[in-house]
This record gives sequence, C-alpha cells and structure tokens, in this order.
Amino acid sequence: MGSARKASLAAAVPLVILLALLSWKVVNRDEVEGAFAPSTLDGKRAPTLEGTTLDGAMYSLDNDRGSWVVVNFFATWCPPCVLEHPELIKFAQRHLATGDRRVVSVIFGGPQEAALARTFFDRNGGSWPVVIDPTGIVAVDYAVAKVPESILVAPSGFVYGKIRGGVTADALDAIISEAETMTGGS
Amino acid sequence: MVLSRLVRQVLWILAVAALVAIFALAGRGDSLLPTNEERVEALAEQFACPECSGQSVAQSNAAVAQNIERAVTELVNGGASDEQIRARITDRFGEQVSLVPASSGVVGLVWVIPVVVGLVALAAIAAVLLRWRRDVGAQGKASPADRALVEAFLAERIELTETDQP
Repeated sequence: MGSARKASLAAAVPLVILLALLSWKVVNRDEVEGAFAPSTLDGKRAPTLEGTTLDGAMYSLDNDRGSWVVVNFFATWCPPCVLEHPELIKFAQRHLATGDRRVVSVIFGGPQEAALARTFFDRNGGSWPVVIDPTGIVAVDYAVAKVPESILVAPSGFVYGKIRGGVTADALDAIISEAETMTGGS
Repeated sequence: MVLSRLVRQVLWILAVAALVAIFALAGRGDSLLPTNEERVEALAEQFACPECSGQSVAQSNAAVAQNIERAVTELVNGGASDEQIRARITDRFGEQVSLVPASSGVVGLVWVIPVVVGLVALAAIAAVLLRWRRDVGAQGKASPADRALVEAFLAERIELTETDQP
C-alpha cells in the first residue's frame, strides 16, 4: 500500500510540473510568439491608414496595393515589441528587393511617443515607414487590443488576418505563403 | 363623482411633478445638453478595456484604453453621434466590449422586460383598487331585501308602540 502510494506520487509530480509548464506556456504565448487569431477585420477591406511618418513623409496604405503589407502596431515601452523588432528587420530585408511583402508600423500617441519611436528606430534599425496615429483612430479601426499586433493586408487591400503578440520573419512568410497557396496569390 | 375626484387628484399630482421637473431643468441652466467632455466621459464608461478584465475604458490606465478614449474624444469633437461612436467601436472590437446592453435583438429584452413588468404591475394594482372600490360601494348600498326587512321591522315597532299607548 505504501509503495503504491509512493508510485502514485512519483507519477503525479512530473505530471503536475508538465501541466504547470504548459499553463505557463499558454499564458505567456503572446510574449514568446504571436498567435494568428481571428479578428473582426478578417475578409474586410483594410481600414484607412494614412498619416505622417516619423520622417515627416505622408504614407497611405493604398499606395502599397499589390503587395502584402504587415501593419505592425507597436510601442517602444512594450518588451515583446522590442523582441520582435529584429524579426521585422529580417522580414523587411528579405523582401526589400522584390517589394512583394512590406512592413509599415503604427505608433499611437502624441509627440513624446513619436520622439521615443524615432530614437528607437535610430538605435535598433528598420527603414520601413512608421506612421504616427495621434488620435488613436487608426488603432481603434484596426481593433488593436494589445501591442504588439500585426495585421496582414493582402495585395487586394483586404485583411487576411491578425497576429496577436510578437512575430517572427519565418512565421510571417509561412502565413503569407500559405495564404497565397489558398487564394492564388491575391 | 368618485371617479372625477380621483381624476382631479391624479391631475394635481401630475401638475406638481411637472412643476418640479421644470424647476429642476431650469436649475441646470445652459447645461441641458452634455458638453463634449461629458459625452466622452459617459462613452468611456460604456466600453470595456479590451486588454484588462473588469475595467471600463474610463477606469483603466492601459495604453489601449487610453487610446480608445483619445479616439472617442477625436470622434466626438469631429461631430460623430454617440450611436455612431458606439457602432464604430463595437464593430471593431466586437459586441463584448460594450458594457451597455444593446437596444435591439434578444439583449434588448433587458430594457423591455422591466417596462412590461411595471405596466402589468400597475394594471394589476389598478384592477385591485377598482374591485375594492366596487365592493365597498356595493356594501354601502341596501338591497331590496334589506329595505323590506327594515320596513317590516319599523312597521312592527309602530304597531307595538300604538298598542302600548293607553
């Protein structure tokens, strides 16, 4: 009886540890890697995205029609955003020559956030447009619930899906390639 | 007669209530319509912060909540109606972000049911009162049988009185 109880305990301990690890992984999934999740925008025309970039230029999502666009909402104070940044650089550089897949970042907030973002890009690199959303309306229209979030806009200008949490270059390419296979490239 | 007295009482109560309402509204002066700030505050209370649990946009300090409040401010200042703003935000974040039940569909029943229950209760009270009044009225009136009894009693008494007189 005693040995049976010890055996049960011995079996239960690793099981509990495994469950705890799995729970931790689920809870922190967004911190580690982004989750491709359904959103209210899926299949709809991408909301208007126009505005001034950190460089002072004007950006319009419509001008990127014909390419896949990763609309990335981020903040300099958010650790997963900092973690995903090198991956976005990798993704952008991978498609720089062809221009078939692009990145545009959006920051919401006032001049202070814009200044912090400018410093962040100067320090960490990244040459894609960073649109300032001072009113917050763009983030609302894209239903941003937590940064970082990346919305994948198809070449047709329609939203394909949303990734909640940090992204990786390989994951972005895999999702887009799969979408191209399913939709025939549009 | 009784009914007209009741109607007069109800009219007096309504008149007093109307006067109170007029004074209350007059006391508010120019602020009959909410200011933009008041509208933003009210709207921010009506949306749940999508990032936090159990907090409204107005209560939360989360960046996303503050951003939604900023967007609401922009939309209010831009001339959008409360309904347009509600529609825009629930369209994006889903109906679950709304802390105010919808006025249509099954959810809209939460507005209708209390009104219906209140009306039914009022009708029931009115019916009981009318019935009670009718019963009291009926009890106060003598039936022909009662009258006959009284007449017979009086007649008998008169006879006795006359017989007793010397």
